[in-house]
Amino acid sequence: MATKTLGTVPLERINDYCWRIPKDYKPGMRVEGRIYASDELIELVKDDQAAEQVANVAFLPGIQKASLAMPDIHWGYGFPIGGVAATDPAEGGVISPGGVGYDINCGVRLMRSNLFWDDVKPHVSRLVDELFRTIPAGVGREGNYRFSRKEMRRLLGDGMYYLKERGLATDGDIAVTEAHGRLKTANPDAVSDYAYERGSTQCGTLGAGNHFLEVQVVQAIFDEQAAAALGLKLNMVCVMIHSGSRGLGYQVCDDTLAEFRHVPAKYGIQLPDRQLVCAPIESPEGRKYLGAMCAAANFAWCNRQLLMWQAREVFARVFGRSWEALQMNLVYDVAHNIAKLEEHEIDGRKKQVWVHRKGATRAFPPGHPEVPEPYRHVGQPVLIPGDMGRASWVLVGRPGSMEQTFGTTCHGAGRVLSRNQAVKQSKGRRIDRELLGRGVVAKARSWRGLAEEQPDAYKDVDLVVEVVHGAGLSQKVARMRPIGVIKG
Amino acid sequence: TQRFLPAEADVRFDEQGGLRATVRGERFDPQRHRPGHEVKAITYHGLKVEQRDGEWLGDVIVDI
Repeated sequence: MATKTLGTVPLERINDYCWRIPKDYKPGMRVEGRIYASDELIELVKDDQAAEQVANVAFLPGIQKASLAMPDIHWGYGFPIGGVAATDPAEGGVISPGGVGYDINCGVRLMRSNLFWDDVKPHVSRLVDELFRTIPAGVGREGNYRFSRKEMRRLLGDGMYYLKERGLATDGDIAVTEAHGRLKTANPDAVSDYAYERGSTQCGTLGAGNHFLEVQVVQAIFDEQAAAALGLKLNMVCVMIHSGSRGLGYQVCDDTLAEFRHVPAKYGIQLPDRQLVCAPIESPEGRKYLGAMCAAANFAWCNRQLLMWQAREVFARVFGRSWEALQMNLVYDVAHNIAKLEEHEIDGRKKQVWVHRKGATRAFPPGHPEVPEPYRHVGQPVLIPGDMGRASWVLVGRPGSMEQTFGTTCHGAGRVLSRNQAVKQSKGRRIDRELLGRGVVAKARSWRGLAEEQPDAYKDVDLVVEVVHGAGLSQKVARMRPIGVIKG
Repeated sequence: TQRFLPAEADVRFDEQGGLRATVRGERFDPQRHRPGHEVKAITYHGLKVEQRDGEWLGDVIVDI
């Protein structure tokens, strides 16, 4: 068996796509670690402490099967980004805010249209200008929608169903959103006043960092049947949106980390890293966080809905037809920073477990009851944003995800350069002009934002997708090429 | 303190271990200020507090 070490972490090669961290690496690991990566990608993991974090997650009480990491793994707070862990409440299982992330229900949605590359080509500049002018992006920008305290309470409890009452979402939108854009376990009263305040002006804003709204073209199709089910055709113009729960979700995470400081000691939980603070799911502290986390997740679905709604209005203005006439229908919306209660088969028994996905995407296979009816025969759509110069991907879930990763696949390209390194490498360059040379019109609030997010800062998303495809976690459907980008 | 951008801080420690600080700055104005980063978290990663040449040094990694 091939073995290697990353820093001090021993790795055994299981197959072409997966590496094992043995359970005896550190006393206290309850399960082994598994990192999904090719020989090429595992080399990119070696410089950070993400592998150590995979081993640390294996300490969590109630963890099932293995502490997992997807091929876009990199260093994160407590859990690595790309980390997946399932915990069983019946075995004292815990919930850890570091396993969800600061940006609760950060996620991606994809909207199609009946426009094709030739229709849009002459209008790309104007379209991107209009999108940039209309859709609030960047640090500290307020949104075009305001919600009172009472309205926020409804929004946090009822998610996209509340926006439908307000005429800002349709049944069609709700039908193809993960969890229908509403987790019923949300508890709006578990969310702090400060979080409410931050959220009230931020629903329908993009934010900063790696969040974006892109106009994309379907560049290649790899699975005709699945593409047809998803309504995707070659050269079709689509809109991809990547954002999360903004200041509200951040505040929920921050509040909880402070409240959880002494919680592990209270329940006798030993942790190798205090950033893994957690609470038993069946405890007042655990239940409060779960209620607040689900409320923040509902907020995030509403945020992406309002971003999409504004994009529809812009397209209607630019092309002089209603969004309905342009058939700008949602393909799917999927979360990649979340914990969900799901049924999984573990050692031959069906169990209800909380699956933490931190920078990892749900990828349910064909036939799963939670896959929307029109897609059930092909599998749940999975949306993988790449960097803004190269490509993004549409995949569908495969049976391998249920067998190996609690129904999970990767979430993006993953950084190779830190933000500071990326900025240093951009000195004296005009990233927007370089992108234009690649056929991408990019507008950002800050030069620094563009520099941090330049294509070279990321792993090649194609390599990441190759691993999850090869490992049988999900299957390639379409490669999307960006033509217009707006960012914070 | 909402939307307040601090620019200068004067921090003084007293004998009892408390501190007094005067912070000067202004309200955030998107027309004039160009924010670089939203800080995600103050991490415990590599956290260090040590005495060096009679002075205290704190090392904190900020997750952005």
